[in-house]
Amino acid sequence: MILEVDNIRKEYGNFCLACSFSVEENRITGLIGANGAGKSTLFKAILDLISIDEGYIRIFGKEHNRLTAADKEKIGVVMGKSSPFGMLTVKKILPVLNSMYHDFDREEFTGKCREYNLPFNVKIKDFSTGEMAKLNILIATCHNADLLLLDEPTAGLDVLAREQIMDMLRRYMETEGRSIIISSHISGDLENFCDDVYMINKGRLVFHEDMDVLLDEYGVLKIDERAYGDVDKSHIVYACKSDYGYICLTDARQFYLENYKDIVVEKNGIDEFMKIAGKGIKL
Amino acid sequence: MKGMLIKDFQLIFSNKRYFLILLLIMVFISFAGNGENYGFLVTFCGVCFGVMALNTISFDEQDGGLPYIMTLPVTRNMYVAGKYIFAVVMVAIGIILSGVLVMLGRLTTGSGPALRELLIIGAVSFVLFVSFVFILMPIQFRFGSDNGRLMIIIFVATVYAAAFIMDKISESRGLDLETVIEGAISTLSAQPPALIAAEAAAVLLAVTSVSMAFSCAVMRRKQM
Repeated sequence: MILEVDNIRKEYGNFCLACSFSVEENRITGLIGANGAGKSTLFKAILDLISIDEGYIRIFGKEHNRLTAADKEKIGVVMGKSSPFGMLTVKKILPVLNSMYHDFDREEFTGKCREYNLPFNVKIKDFSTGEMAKLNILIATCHNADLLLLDEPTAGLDVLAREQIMDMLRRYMETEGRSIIISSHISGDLENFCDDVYMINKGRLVFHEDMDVLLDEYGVLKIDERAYGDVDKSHIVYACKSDYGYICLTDARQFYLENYKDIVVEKNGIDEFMKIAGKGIKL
Repeated sequence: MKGMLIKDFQLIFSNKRYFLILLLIMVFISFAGNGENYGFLVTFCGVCFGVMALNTISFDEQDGGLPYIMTLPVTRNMYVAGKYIFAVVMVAIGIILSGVLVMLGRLTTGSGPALRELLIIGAVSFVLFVSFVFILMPIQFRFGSDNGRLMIIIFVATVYAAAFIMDKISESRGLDLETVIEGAISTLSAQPPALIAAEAAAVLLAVTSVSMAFSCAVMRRKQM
């Protein structure tokens, strides 16, 4: 297990983060949730930027607050658009990264900066959102890290830039033994990218599933109030009341397609699943 | 830590215009007083370079930079240690630069302190300004960029107020504080140079240990 979050708890006034989850080697794990659901808080807890009230977090089998500088070299992080290098240029951060990371691949880094048209002599604070996002991904991936923690790496980007970022990450995963945990509220980014996905809502993980299973077997049922009472609910994961009757999230779309001709069965994307899991009641 | 030091140097020396203006002021001070301005010049340089070192903490905190730094191969204690080393180097640069300018002024104008005197003033100033920056460092770590500046102003104002009150109290008791201080300095100066150096090193060590302990404690508790 490359990352293990074990029964952690962190309270912030009315908000409480309480969850357990893990990331395995060679896996891309997605973390989805609405704004304010607790994704960034969870990342900050993992990275020991905030203390936790209860529980354990282990990275590479070590407690997260006991990681040495050498351990941290094996982690690449992107936290939105933040950067401590805003006043510097790409040219000037080269010696900084070179001194920080033993495995920093200067040639690869500069090559990729050229490939993605990142200017070498412009202050990073003057970069466009897309350039900044690409640079942050390059910094995170240029030192042979085993684990990437990416908090909203595609936030604010257009479709083209988002696709470039996802391509960069796909290339990173071509090397064996690497893992990524990535959060996004743009579910489309994660659908064709992640191996499994966790959904976080109001500080709690409400849902975990393999992406293949989610896309192949899950579905949305729209059932009127009268029919809802008679429906077999053993494959309904979440249900929420609507004007029409009930909207349900099922983990066996085919079952309802074959056995219930009078209810609407849809194959939706994870946006719709997220809405139902966020609003609905777990059955 | 080396990477962080390089980053801080890059950050400080990237503002070329600021350095050019600073250098012009230093040259002006050096040459304007016919070599008699060394005391002011060394204070100016020591404070300027020391404050610049402190400012890198504020720069790091801008735009969510500090949490990002903490995700790099830098532990919280390493970060603190890096800032202390950087401050020592910056104050040293400031004092050496002021010494070089005074020597240049001396060569040009023919007046100014002797090299031995210059070295003694430089060494004493180094200990004083490094101690000054080290006292302010935990305040900057604790209160951040904006509140930190305010707290530093309050701290300096408190020191001045305390000195003023002490002066008034000693005056009312018929004591001249300036004479007392001068007496203490001449007693200290009368000691062998090796003893003075050892005492200065002990003071610096004590200030560094206490200051670093506070700064590390602040950083350990910091929520980002």
